[in-house]
Amino acid sequence: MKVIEPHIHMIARTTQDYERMARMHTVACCEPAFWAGYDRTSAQAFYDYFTHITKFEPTRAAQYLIQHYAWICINPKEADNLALAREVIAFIPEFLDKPTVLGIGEIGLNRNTRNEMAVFQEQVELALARNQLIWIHTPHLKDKLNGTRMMLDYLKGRGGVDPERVCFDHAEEHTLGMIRNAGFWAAMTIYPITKNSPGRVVDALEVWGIDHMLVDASGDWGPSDPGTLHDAIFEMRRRGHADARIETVFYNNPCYFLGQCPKFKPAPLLPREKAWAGAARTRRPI
Amino acid sequence: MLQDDTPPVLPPPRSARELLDMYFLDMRSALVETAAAWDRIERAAGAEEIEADPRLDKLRAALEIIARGRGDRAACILTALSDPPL
Repeated sequence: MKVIEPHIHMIARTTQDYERMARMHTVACCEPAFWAGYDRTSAQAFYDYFTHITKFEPTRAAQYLIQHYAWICINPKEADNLALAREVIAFIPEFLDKPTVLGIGEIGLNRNTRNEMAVFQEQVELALARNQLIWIHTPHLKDKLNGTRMMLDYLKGRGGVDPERVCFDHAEEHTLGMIRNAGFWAAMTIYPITKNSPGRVVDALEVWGIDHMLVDASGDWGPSDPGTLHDAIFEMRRRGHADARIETVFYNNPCYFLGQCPKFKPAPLLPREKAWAGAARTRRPI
Repeated sequence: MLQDDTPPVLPPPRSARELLDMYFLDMRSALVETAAAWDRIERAAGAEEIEADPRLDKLRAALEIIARGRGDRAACILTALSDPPL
């Protein structure tokens, strides 16, 4: 079974993780731009970071036959510094043209501040102006519910945003409903302690169906593990779900969403109407 | 989790009895860990000062949801642990 990791910060991982992922049949991974664990001191530091994830990581991944893709943005945590954020936004278009960049992400909110929201909106506008896919970070813990609602309200109220081209990540049980009912893609992150467990991710797939759903491990410099994605695969199997359904969640679905960017090369094994038949909750035509 | 009465889209192939057998020890362990951590905090110096900490109130509310909820316990607990609506 082939697997695609839709969200992982390989800059924070060892080469041994690429090796493990390859052995677990991961064929592609996607790296959204994020906070480094400390606030960067200049726009130039972001330029260097974007260069790293668009140049060095694809090369490192290729040694293990893994295709590496990136998303570019100013992350929500550092977006609170408006002046710095706008300096960074000014050179984002240069990176959007790189051959492995899929779109704008992971934009979003951290503490739901006015500045964060302003930078989120500016980056949504940039994405729409350049016909880019959007990958959204929803806040952590107690801020998640309000932050998710704020971004959904903005996108719905703005108009002109195709929900098929936007994915809300780090969804949990209390935010999945509002994301899916608005027609957006939802991604669930398996992350010890603060996000989902493999069991809860499979619960959500059973409740919401397998359409418009992604699963990621979001491995980074914190306690996390690329192998948790594969733990979720095992969890789904031991509950008795069919391999074809599992492969759709962990391989075909990333192809359906990410493949809207012509630079994304992996191809789904079957059309989504067939893959989702009998297991989709979406009521509108798919 | 569901915001209407729509049944699960992908029902678990295993029966409720099989799932209870699969998950009982995990459920037991999570509850015992919570209880033990709470005891640990209460044994420490200054326990009386944190008795009214709102985080513990939220855990008390979560335990009520576990005991009395039905079908959407995880969503209800996460909502109870969230900031109030803006």
